[in-house]
Amino acid sequence: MAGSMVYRLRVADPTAAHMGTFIKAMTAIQARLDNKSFNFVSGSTWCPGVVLLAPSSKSAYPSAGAAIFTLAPRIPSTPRQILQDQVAGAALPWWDWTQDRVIPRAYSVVSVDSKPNPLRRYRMQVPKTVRNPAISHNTVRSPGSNPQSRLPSKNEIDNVMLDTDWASFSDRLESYHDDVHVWVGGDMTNITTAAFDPIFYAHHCMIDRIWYLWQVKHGNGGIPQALLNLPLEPFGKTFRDVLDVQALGYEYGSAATPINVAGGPQ
Amino acid sequence: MIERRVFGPFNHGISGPFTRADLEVYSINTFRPSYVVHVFFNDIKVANLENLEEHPGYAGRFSVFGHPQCVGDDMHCHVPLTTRRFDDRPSHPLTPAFRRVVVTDALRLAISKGKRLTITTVASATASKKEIEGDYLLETSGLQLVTYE
Repeated sequence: MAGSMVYRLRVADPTAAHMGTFIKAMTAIQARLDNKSFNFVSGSTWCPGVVLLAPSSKSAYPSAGAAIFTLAPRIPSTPRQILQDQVAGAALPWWDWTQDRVIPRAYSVVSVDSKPNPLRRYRMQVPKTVRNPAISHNTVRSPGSNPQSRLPSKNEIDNVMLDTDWASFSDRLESYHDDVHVWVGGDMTNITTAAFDPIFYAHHCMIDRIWYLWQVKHGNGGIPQALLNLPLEPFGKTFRDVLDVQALGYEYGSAATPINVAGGPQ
Repeated sequence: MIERRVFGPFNHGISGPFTRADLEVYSINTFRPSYVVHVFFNDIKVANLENLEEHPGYAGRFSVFGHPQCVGDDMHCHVPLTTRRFDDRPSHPLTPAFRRVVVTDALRLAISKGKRLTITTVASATASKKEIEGDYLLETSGLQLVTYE
């Protein structure tokens, strides 16, 4: 419903209701090139210079960079809001790679309802710089092409959820996050281009969801005070501002079925 | 490409019991193609790359999400060594990374066999060696083993 909190649900078949809504919104934002476009969100937010998937620096705080990394899927309101600008209730879904050990069908099928599937790939448009040419190509993936890469297992994620130390949890989750980028291959292995692949957001929602579930279990008590005031450029937020997903307008659920006033599922 | 690096042998210096052990990897250069690293104790060669997790010395893995080439202008990928007063921007995205691998069971097994320890890392990327600036795919300033009571 317009203006209400949205529920992030698990990636499902493209025929599922929540996926249909999401696909419709993604189709709309991919057809634009302005500041309400997928290209804007993926480009200006993540590439080429303001990528917040910052490798951590051991010097200042043990996990300062990792903290920023962990927050990354939670910070930008733009991806969330431009989807809802197009279709009320549209929400990013999460890819549970501990269960779905291949690229989800919704992200690999060529077409949905006889229309090109916007989750399969995206033609990125990165402007040229003085020194480098423009980048314009369809995103590609090569899952498992690095034979030594691994998707994190359920056992590994269950284990990291038991880690009571926030810094240690964050460090470990960052590496599991990187595992998935390496496993998916192609543009997802490159910090510059990864966010142009639509599956980037499904992956980051999963990371955000794991952090949310960890917060439910362990709270926020172990986060250093100095980190809580860390500005999260360029989003106009601090770490403290994004601790509560409900305050950001979304929640993680397993199902959400809108009921119309006349009764029955819409 | 596959890159093996061997650290040690060294005296591990661990005498008492511990409930958890971490291998910390410092100042990892991320101006690299993305790669995964598998870690082994007391196996210099790691000759067989099949079923790595079943290897007797297997300790764990970590991955590094990398930035293989600069797409900006001059100094775009330059990591400043100092920060100006009033510059409250977050750290540069290419600030060297830190990784932590929980190696508790593998370390217990390895140190039960003696005081000397060797760490072997097997880094794997789909990129070729010539695509990497520098000597190593896994370029790090150091490793540290930490145990907790």
